[in-house]
Amino acid sequence: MKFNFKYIAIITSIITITACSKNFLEEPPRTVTIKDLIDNPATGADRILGAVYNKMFDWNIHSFAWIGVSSITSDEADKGSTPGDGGTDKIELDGWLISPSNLSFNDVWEGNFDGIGRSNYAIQFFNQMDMAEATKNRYVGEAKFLRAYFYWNLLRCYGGVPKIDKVLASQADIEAYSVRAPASEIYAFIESDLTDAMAKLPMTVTSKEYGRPTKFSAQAFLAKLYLYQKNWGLSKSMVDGIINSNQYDLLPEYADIWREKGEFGKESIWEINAIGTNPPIGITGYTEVQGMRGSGLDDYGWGFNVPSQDLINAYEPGDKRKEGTVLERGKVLWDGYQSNPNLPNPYYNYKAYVSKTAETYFDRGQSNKNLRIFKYGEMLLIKAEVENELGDTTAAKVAINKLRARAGLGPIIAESKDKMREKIYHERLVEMAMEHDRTFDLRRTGRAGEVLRKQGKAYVDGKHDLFPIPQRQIDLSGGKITQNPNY
Amino acid sequence: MKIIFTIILSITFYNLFASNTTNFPPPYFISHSNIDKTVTGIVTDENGAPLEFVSIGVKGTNNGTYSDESGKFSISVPDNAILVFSYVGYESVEISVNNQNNLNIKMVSNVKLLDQVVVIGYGTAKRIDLTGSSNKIKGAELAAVPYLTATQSLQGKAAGVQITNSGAPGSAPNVRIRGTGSILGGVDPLYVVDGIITDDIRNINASDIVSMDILKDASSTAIYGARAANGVILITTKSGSSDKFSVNYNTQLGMRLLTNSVKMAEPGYYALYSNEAADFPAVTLKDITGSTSWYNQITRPALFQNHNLSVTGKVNKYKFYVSAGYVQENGILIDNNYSRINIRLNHEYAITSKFTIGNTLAASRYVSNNKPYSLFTSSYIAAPIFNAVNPDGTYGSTSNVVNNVGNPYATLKTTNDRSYGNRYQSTFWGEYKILKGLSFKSQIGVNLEHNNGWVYIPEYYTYQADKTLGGQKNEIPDLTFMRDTIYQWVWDNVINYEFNIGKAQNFKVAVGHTAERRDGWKNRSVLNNYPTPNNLDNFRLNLADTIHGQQNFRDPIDNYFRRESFFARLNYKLQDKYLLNATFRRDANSNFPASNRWGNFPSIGIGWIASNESFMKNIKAFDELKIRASYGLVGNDVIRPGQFDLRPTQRLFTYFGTDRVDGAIVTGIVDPNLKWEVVKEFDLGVEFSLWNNMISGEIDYYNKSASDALYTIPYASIGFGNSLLTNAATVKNSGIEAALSWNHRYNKNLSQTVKFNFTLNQNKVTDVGLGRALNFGSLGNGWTATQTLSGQPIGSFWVFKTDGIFQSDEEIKNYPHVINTKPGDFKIVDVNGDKIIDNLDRGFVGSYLPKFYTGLSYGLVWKKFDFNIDLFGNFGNKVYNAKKGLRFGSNYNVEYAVAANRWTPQNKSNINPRASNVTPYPIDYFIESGTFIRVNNITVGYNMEKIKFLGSIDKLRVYASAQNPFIYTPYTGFTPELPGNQNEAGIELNIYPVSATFLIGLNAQF
Repeated sequence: MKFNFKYIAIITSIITITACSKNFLEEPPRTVTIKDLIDNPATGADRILGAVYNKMFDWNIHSFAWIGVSSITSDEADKGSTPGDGGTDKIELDGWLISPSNLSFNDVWEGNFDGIGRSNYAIQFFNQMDMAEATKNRYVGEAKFLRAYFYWNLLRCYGGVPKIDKVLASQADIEAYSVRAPASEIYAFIESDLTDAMAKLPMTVTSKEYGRPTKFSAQAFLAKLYLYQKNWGLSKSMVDGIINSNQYDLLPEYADIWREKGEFGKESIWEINAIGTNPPIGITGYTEVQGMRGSGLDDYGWGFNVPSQDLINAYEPGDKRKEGTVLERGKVLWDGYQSNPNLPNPYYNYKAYVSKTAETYFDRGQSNKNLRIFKYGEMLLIKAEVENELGDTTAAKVAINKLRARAGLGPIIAESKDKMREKIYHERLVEMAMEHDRTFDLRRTGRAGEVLRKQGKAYVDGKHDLFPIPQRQIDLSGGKITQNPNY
Repeated sequence: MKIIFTIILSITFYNLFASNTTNFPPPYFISHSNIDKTVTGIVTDENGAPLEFVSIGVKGTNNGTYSDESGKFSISVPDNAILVFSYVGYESVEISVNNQNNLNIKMVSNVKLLDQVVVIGYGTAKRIDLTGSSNKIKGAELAAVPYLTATQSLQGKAAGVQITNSGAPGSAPNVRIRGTGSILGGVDPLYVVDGIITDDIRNINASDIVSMDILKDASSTAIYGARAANGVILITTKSGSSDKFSVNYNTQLGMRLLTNSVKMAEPGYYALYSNEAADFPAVTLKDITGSTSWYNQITRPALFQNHNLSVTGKVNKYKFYVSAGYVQENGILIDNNYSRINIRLNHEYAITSKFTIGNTLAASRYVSNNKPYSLFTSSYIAAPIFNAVNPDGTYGSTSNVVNNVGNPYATLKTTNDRSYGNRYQSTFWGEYKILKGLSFKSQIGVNLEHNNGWVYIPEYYTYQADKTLGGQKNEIPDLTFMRDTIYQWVWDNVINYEFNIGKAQNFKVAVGHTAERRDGWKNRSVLNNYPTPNNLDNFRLNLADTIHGQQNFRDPIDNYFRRESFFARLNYKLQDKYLLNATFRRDANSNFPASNRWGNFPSIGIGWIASNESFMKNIKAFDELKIRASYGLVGNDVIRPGQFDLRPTQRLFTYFGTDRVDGAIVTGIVDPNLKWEVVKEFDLGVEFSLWNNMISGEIDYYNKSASDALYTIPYASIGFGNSLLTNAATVKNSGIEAALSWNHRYNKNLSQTVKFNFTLNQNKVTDVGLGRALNFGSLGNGWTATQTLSGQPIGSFWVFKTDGIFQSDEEIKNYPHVINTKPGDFKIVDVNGDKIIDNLDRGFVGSYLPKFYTGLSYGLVWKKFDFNIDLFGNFGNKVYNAKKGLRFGSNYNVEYAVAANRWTPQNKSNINPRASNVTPYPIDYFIESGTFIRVNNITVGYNMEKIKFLGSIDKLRVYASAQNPFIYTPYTGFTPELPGNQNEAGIELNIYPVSATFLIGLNAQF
């Protein structure tokens, strides 16, 4: 046995050459890194903030599930579609035969918590960025405003939920934080975010920034938050701040609010900016889920969430708001389209209608329909309510009559505080109909059981005042997230 | 350098072919002048039966002849001549003539298992010397059946190898070696083609394959370290044969047919059922405007064709194999097809007696016209009450009152979806024999793939019978273009050294190093509202197109990586009786964090060749008896890149005003210490052969346990995703597999072969993270049907139990039930007794993984005829008949039997439910047995040799064959063979059913 060491040397050197490159195994990142974003605030900050906004267009946050829990559950709307189509669990939502396993509750939970997670990341990243103080403040303020919005949806649905005020980086942290905070803590958290946002956000935005909140968006939000807490005084001061800013007013035509014409108009305090041009970014399925369920040229969608007969009955004769809210089958619509008289339902949600001819229309799944979250009309409703609760029925009457005048109705005359409250509640129903407010408003004012049972719904006081925590979330927390009473 | 060599070699061959073909006469036919004497004799096989057409040549000359029908021959030779007797399937015999005039030659079959050479990682070895478990499948077996991918024909052929085929043209089957080894990691075996690792072998022409060696246990696979956990399949392509120049042409023409179609309800029953379900006239007489059987409408008998031409030979120091192939598979779905062209060039050149270089080049192009598999589902639920095409040529639609799922035929015809691409796979190697037994080989492999495609659905509408618009339509035609490029290289350097110490000890040592990189990009362009282009194949994208909202995306491919490894192997043999095989591999993969990047994968195997012991020599029956055992660690590192690194998700678009912002943010959490799965494998086996190989067999017990299995631990959604990918489960597979074959050659006219194998496998998941189950198996109606959880096989069916049907309102009132339950609905059992029917009442009812699968084949050769039949059996698994559970809401069609046997107040069944529009719960009613026995192949062939009137045809074979002609199964759906992701296979929903094929074939060798 003899080795020829010359060859061994050659072989060894070849192997060494292959193996020598120490960095060979380092694969440089192919996609953008966190560091790339943070190190480039000029583009990174907008990209991060944009990603938080993006959540609002997702299917699980403002689409079918949200339409179900915020609207189909209420007395103003019925399930719609066709009798046989349950819409996953919409038939249960409509009848209040709800359970923790209904998927809509899980969607709304996950969608809003996703938004909260993104907001938390955004706040952390903005704070790490090298930006001018004022710029940084605005970004942080906006992220906090959005976080407050996501929490607001959760709070109204479920009551207390896990309070997540920072980035959780490990599963151990996530497990530890998977416990519910009391509703009062969530109220306080939203309040502090909004107060901070109010201080940090600008008074106005340019048309290049449409969709982004202002100081007044936060203020309007606070007005509503305090209203829910029956903190009439603080609510009044917030709503007065908006009214006295003289930046907002009612649109002359009620029906324009939800049409393209009314986007970011005088009445708009904050809305979600959907763009229906190509490539579209719309609230996924919002228009389609609620569009007229016809076929062929009359096929506008699935036909869910239709105005109920009770809502139709609620309008006083001559109330122009009915024509801005209720799409009646067989009628010629505002854009000249003749709707089909044989549609399965007599009424559809006019506020979700997008004209194929007179508005931006590209894809009904991603329509141009902005979701109006805070509008001046609601501020007048809040103004009326808080003034009334604080004893100034006259101021209440003035606010209400502004809305009635636009609706083509005569003014209401002075009433007692209790009578006035009824009037305001009624006015709120017709002014805010089909705007995802009614179910929460009924519960806020303690009228849900009475109103809904009258409609034959199985609403149980003390149980249905909150929606069930999704069973899936309880299971995945190992039971640490607890169920609401009586489910 | 490589290119230059290829060019030189190619030019050389070109010249040889073009100008000088007469240099390649059949070597033994030219008579020679230097004649001294005549030798006569007879050639027989082991049993004394005469052998015809044995070629008899004089070594070193072109002189030669053949034996005749009675085995006799006569040849004139010089005294000092050496005669070479050769015959396919037999050992060549060399005899010096000397002064003999009469020679009686007995030829011995070369199918001697003892000397069978098998391919192992980075080398070859005699099968008898190995301590691992492997199977060798010959290329001829793979090429005989009309499959595009060689692994498709393995079904039932090898113990421990489970093949699940799809009927879709151009598809590759699911291949599972010794069970399903991972929940979320890779489960496919590693493929190594001529030494080069690859993940897709659809570009390999089965007729180019010499053999496929399937490595199953750690002793044989651990040399591939972190990629070996799911077994390894080594594919060797043909190289120049050493003695003969030959041209081979084979062709197959056949037809595929949909078998086992399910009978759907016809218009009358459909209307009856729908109206009963809706409780109002949902479908009236005026809605019935036609009668369509949708499965007939979308399927067809489909043609199949396959042509291969190859030339192989040896010229001085060159050995070459060149081939071209074309295969076209039409799908049973109309307009669905796949075609592929292959060219292969394999060269080898001995520069000196010590230095050999070689190169392989495989080029292929495929074109695939795709149709959505969901058509098999939409045809199931489509209303049978209207015409697919209206009299005026437009697509039909249901009336808007019925408003059913639409017109599957319109979907079929309007879906323009084509993918096409080229792939070049090439190696270049050199081997230097340094000393006797010591050699060094360096090989570079390159793989380049271009995959392109486009999808376009034009603007179209359907029309009701009264010519008003129907529901199905496409108003906005989108055009999507895909252009992917994948580039991969690997460089192996291996030293092999074989030596003996004394007479008793034999050592084979291999050490090596390998480095590898895979890289590539996927490009997508989407144009919205694009007018129908004239010719999409010649379409050129206008990058400046802003009118159609063009969006361009560029992403890295899903599986780019860099790897580096060192490996070593020792095969030690003592006294030809005692074996020790040891391997070691140290692997690194860039897809894991630097802290966990390197891992060690050792294996050890021992063997005892008992038949070589002196005390066994007396037992004549045994040709071979070997007992072996092995243990080793192998890894599973199939994971997408960057999973351990927290990266922002991009393309979370939003508009600020009218400015589009590409949102980017982190949306979950990662495990920064992610690592590969480690599989501990134990194998104990016995190999034997008896009575001159008349009976041979192999029995193995194996036990594989993958710890640190990848698992996504689900957690509550509180803003940071809903699960963490980490190493948090164990997957166990254990089983027994056995193969037995019997062959007997009675005389020269008759021989028979029987081969049988079976595999018993048990799969179990344990120790899943925090005990939280994973749900999979979407049923298309909002529910899921499977769960992966500790104590169960992967992807077990998890459903509600039922106890018959509710017969009355009274009964419903007294029993827990779900909302809206009516008489005629299933009585779902409240298993936990809490009076609520919810997920807590669900239970496991088995999985899609078979407990037992087996293959049996029988072969008969009688004179010039041969006959072969292959059976495959699959036992003990369950299937979810999800199509049956799809009906909800809309007026979906149902099976004839479902409509005919439905519960009604007059026909109170306790098995079949009422007509209903309610989304069905996932209940045991939909679970059916997945057991089936199928005739996979029947072939009858006729063989001719040395056809005189054509002079140059050495061999001609014609045959007729049927694939999957019969299946015996209790399953009521289309097919119980349902490939899919391991967590949710076995759900029949959008599945392309396996079809039957009938074909004729011809194989000619010149």
